[in-house]
Amino acid sequence: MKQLRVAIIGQGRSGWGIHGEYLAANKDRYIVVAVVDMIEKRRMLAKERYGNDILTFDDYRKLFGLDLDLVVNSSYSHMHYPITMDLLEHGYNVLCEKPFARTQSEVQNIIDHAVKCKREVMVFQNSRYSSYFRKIKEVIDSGCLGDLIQISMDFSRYERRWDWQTLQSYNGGNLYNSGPHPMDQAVVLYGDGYPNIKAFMNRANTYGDAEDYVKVVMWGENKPVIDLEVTSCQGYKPYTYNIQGSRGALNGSMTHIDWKYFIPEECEKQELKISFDKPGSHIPAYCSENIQWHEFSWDEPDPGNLFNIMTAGYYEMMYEHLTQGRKMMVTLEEVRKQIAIIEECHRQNPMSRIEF
Amino acid sequence: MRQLKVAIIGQGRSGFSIHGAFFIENKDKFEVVAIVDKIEKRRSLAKERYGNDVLAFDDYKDLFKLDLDFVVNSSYSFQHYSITKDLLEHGFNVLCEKPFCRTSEEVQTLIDTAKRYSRKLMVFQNSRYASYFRKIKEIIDSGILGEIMQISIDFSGYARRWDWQTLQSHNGGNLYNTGPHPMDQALVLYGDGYPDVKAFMNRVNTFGDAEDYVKVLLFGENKPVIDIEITSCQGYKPYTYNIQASRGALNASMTHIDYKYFIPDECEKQELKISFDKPGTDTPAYCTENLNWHEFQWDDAPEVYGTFKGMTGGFYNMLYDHIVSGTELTVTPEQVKRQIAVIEECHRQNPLSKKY
Repeated sequence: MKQLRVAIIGQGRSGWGIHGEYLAANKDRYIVVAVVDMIEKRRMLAKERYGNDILTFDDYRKLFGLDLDLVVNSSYSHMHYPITMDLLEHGYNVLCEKPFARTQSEVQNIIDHAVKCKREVMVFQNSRYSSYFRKIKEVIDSGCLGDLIQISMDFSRYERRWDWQTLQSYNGGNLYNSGPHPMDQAVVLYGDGYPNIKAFMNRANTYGDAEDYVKVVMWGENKPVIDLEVTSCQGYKPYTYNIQGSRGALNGSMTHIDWKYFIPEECEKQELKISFDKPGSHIPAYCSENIQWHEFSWDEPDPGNLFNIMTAGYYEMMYEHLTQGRKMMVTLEEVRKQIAIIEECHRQNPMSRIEF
Repeated sequence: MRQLKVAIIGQGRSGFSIHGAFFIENKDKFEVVAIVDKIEKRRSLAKERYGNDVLAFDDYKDLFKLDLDFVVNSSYSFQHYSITKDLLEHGFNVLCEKPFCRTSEEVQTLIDTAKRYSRKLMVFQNSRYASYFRKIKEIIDSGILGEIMQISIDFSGYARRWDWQTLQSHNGGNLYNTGPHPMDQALVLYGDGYPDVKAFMNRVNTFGDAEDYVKVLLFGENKPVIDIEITSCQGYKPYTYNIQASRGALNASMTHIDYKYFIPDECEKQELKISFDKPGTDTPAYCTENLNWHEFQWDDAPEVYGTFKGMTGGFYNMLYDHIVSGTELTVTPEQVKRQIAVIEECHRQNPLSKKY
C-alpha cells in the first residue's frame, strides 16, 4: 500500500488533535514527514509523536522544495486562504481545514488556481462522514418521511470562549468555527440551487469581537425550510436534528435517532366536514383519529468515537482520491455554496470590530 | 355579588366547551340567559345544560331585543368581525373569540365602533393567563437570565384535520386557529413596537385549503429573535418554550419549567488568549471552565386547577372586574390589533391558492 508523505501546518487543536492523531495511527497509508508551528513547544511535541527524524519548521514556506504528496493546512482560519494559494503555487496538493475561506470569491480563486497549477485541493468537511448524518440522509432518501417541510439543526451549547476563534481578525465566530459542519450538511440536504437566507448573529458571552450566536434560516421553492442554530447560549439543547415531513418525522442527537411515518392507505378515510359530535352524543368535538405510526430508532454503535469515525471516513475517501483518482464526496462546488451562504449571513449582520 | 347576564353565540367547541363550561361552574358571577346556534341539536343541548328557561335562537339578531351585560361571540372565525360590529352597534358589550379579525383594519373599525357606541370590547386571549406563561414572564422580568437572545415557542403537533378550521373561507388555518395563543404571548414578550416578520406557511396534510404549517420569526433592534412554530407535522415536539439568554436559559412545557443562570462574579476571571495547553502539558486545548449554574424548576398543579381552566378563569376574573368595576383590561383590543397585523403580514408573505 502506498504511503503518502504528509506535512501538517499547525500543531494546534486541529493539526495536532485531529489530523496528527489520525495520521499517527494510520501509518500504512500516511507518514508525517514535516510539521510547521510557530510555537516551539508544539514542534517538540511533534517530534515526540511522529519521530525524531521529522522536519519541524516555524514557517510554512520552509516546506517548499520538499517531496510531499499532501500538505494539511490547519493554520489559523484567516491563514487558510493565503497559505493554500501559496502551497498550490508551489506545486503541492492541499487538504485545507474549515472554514475553507472567508468569501466565495476566495473559494473561486483557489479553485481556479488549483486548475492552473494542476494540483488537488480538498476541504476537511468531515461531518459529511458522521454516522448520524449518513443515517439521517438514508432515512430521508428512502422517502418514508414524505415531503420534507422543515429541517431544524442545532449545533449549539452554552459556553463562554476567550480564544482566537472569538476574533473576527482570525475569521473566528461561531459561523466560521462550527458553522461549516452543519452548513455543509445543510447544503447537501438542500440540494441543487442557492437558498434564500435570513440570518441573525449576535454577541452573547464572547470575550472576542466575533459572534457567538447564529441562527440561519434557508428556504427556496419546493425546498424544506432549513433552520440552523449555532449558538453559545443554549442551555437546554433539544436535539441535533428535528425533521418535519408530510408523512413522518425524525428527531435525533449525534448518537441516537428516532423516526416514524404513517402510510395514508392505512388511515381511516376522512372527508371535509363542518361540524363534529363526540361519538354517541350531540356534544361538539374536534376531528380526531389515531394515526398508525411505524416507529424506528438507531443508535451509534461506537458513541465514544464520533469524531474519529468522521475523520477516518474522510481520510479513507481522500486516500483513494489521491492514489486511485476516486471522486471526492465533498466537492469544491458544495464548499463554495457553503461559504457563499456564510458570507451572506455576515453581510446581513455587520458587527463592529474591537481592537485587541 | 352581581350576576352578569350573558348570551353565547355558537355552541361549538368554544361556545359550549370553553365558555359554556366555565359559566355553569361560575353561576355566582355569570348567568347564561340566551344562546344562539344554527344547529338544532346544539340548541337542545344548551337547554339541557343551562336550564329550560334559557332562550335558544338560530340567528344572533334575535338577541337584539334582550337586556344583556355582554355577548360572547364564539361564532365561526370568519363571522367574528361582522357579528361583533353588529352587536356593538346594537348596544351590546362583546367578548369575541380569537382570531379577533382577519385584518388589523377590521380591528381598528371595531375599536372605533365600540368607542362610538360607548360599549366594552374584549378579546378572549386566555393564553395570557396560562400559569406557565405567567411564570416564564416572571422569570424573564426578574432579569436573572440576562439579555434575552432568542425565544422559541412551539405550539405544534402531528395531526390531519378535516373540519371548518381548515378552510380559508372560514378564516381557518393554523395561524388564525392556534396562532393567536402563542402570538399574543410572543408580542407581550417582544415589548413595544411592531416587529419585523419573516413567515413560512405551507399545506402538508390538511383536507382543507388553509395552511397547517406555520413558522414565524419576529425580530427588531435590541429585541430577542422570537421563533414561533405552529405546525401539524411535528412528530417530536421538543418544548413549548426554549429561551437562550446571556446569563442563563429556560426550557418549558405547559406544565413544567426548567431554568438556570450563572452569576458572572462567581465565574473564574478569563482573559482573551490565542493559545491554550492542557493543564500540565504542551498539548493544545480549548478554553474551558465550569460555569456555576443556579438551577431551578417549576411544576404546575393541573390536578388542582387545569392549565386550560386556569387560563379561562384568569381571563374571566379580569373581564368581570372590567365590566362591574371598570378596572382596566389586561388584554386590550389595541394589543390584539398588533397581533392581527403580524398575522396579516404572514399571510401577505405567503399567499395560498383557494380551493373551497
